[in-house]
Amino acid sequence: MMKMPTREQARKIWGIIFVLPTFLFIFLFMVYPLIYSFYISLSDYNFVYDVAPKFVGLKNYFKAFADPTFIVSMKNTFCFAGLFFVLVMVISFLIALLLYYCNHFSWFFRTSIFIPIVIPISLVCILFSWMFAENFGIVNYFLSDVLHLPQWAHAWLTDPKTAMDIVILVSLWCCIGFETILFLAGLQGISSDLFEAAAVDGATGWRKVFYIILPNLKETYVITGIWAILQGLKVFVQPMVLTQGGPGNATLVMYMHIYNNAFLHFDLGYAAALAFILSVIILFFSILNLKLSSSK
Amino acid sequence: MKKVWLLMLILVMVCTTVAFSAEPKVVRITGQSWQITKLFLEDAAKQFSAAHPGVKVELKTYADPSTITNYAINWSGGNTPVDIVIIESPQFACQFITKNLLYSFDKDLKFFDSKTKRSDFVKFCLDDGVINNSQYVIPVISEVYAININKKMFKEAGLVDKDGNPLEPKTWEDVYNFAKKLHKVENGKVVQQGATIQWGMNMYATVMAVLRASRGDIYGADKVSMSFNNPEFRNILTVWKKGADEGVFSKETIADYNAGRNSFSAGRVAMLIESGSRWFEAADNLGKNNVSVLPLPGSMANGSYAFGSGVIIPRASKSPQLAVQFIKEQLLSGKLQTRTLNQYGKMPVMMSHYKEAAASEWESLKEIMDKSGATPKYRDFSKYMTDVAPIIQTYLDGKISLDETINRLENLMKSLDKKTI
Repeated sequence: MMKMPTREQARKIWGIIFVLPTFLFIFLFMVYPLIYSFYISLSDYNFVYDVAPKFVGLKNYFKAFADPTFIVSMKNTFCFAGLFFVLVMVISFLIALLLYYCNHFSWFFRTSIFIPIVIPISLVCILFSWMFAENFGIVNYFLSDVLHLPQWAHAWLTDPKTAMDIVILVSLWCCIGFETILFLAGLQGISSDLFEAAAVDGATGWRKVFYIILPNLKETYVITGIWAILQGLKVFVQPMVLTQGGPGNATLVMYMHIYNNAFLHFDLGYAAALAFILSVIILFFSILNLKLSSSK
Repeated sequence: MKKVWLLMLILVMVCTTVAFSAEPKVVRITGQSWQITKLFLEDAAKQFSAAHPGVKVELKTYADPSTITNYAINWSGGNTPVDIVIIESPQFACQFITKNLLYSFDKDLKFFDSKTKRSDFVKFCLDDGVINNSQYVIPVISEVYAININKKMFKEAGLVDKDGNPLEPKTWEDVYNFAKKLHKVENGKVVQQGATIQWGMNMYATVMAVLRASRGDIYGADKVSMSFNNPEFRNILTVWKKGADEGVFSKETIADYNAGRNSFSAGRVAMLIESGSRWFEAADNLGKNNVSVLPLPGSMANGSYAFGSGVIIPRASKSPQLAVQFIKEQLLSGKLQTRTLNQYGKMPVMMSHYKEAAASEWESLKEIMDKSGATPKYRDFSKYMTDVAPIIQTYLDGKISLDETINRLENLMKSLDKKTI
């Protein structure tokens, strides 16, 4: 006679049944592609012309570090990410602070800050590319015809000295809203008792910010920091639409180089290797951010 | 009784087989939205359906040329959501040929017959669609690189002959000198740009155009690799740099490859060096008498860079013959081809369709197109397309010397896999 499962065994079986769909989904759409793409990164494989991947070991990884275009893209990505990270964190925090202390029309200011998030980034970039156009852009028109400062009118997007600055500016415009909301949520989570105690001890103005607010936002830094790191290192749309990586390779970032190799040159093996290198870099900085945010 | 049932069963099976083996009466066409518009495909679909009762024509759009690569996944499995794909250039067909995913128009579909002869086509247009000695792409519209000009600006600058016709620059020094005369700056602001050259993501086309126009051939001694290390191209790069440094050649296309076209249509640019259809597009804004087109220096004798949209039919299509019929009756019809030319400036691919061209400039452009050579069909042509622009842009920014630029271009060419599929 078949033994009936015990209550504990039955609970385990039901648990497995309920978890199975999610597990299958994660395995099929995340784990398996990750493993397969790692295998592809160890292969020489042109999607269009090769019948099957040919295993070549770490050749693609060595090729990446000998590829001057990849080195330039890595340098540009770090430059962008470094500046973007610092600026987005500082500016978002300051705006969140202003919104926190704002007593009138705060709903209007919060909505205005958040609106850029809901507009597709590609659309924003197209608009900004027209605004910063050399011959017919509104920025140069405003500088030369309204403010009568033609010497300040510039080829913003075609000058290698200013192209990356504009990419960072547009990225900040798009992303500050989201970070501000995260910081604002963090600020609203600080207990008012702390502020009262600080007031009793005579802490006012910037002292409150440095001794009460900043230390109590550690959990917020984890989220905002990781998000800013991801936005910085994974940047793609802004340089793609604004400058197509130019002038020269002045705004070519790693994601674009991966895209070009995968979808324009069909060199999936090399592109997969580049993608894994980028993933390791992102993982490193994310863990660093986590450690720094959680340390005393 | 059993025999009757058996006979009926066989009859049903035969009828079903016949029904399923007949081509479905639907043609599904995909193209970019500008191709659907400029080829008047909606009208073409209605006319075809009206002429062939029971036949349905479905139109779909795809966002970007790079997305058609995804069709390889369907086609490899024997399925297809489309029967005709309008591609931006025959180069885009190469990716499907290695895995035998396309019909050959001449070998498989017997496209050419007494009514549609090879000699009816502009030779270059048809030759460009030949890959590995098979006609995989049938051209439908074409364009050629030239100098689009604002005639009014030429007249104001005195760059006209005694009959009032714009002077033609014979060399690149002439182009620079003309641009200098046409360039106007007031209170430190550029109010009229001398010239804009396509130096953006289509730089690869500009380079091929000037190479062919100046030398008669884009290739070196081996007749396979494109050659950049020659006095003609060095001279052109030097002139470009001089013009860019002085501001008479605008660099606005580096950030936005459509910037030149938009500025020209807005009446801000005197000479626009890219596709020779831009003058026609600007005619509505600037007036038909104020715009024209001139050949690139050397292109009347040697040709230029010509390109155009064509059609491919996947092997997975269940209605290839209907697709061929649509192509012949609609896409290559005189009515559609002439309408596209006279409304959008997209040049016909068949010789006879130039007779009703509204503007005389098209004959010169047709002559240039016919002398142009086919685009190289390298496996790594996409690498040339993406990598040539940054090298030349870096030179124009003054970051590398002319010799270093030529070295990098030659090294780029050496690194490409130049096998044809």
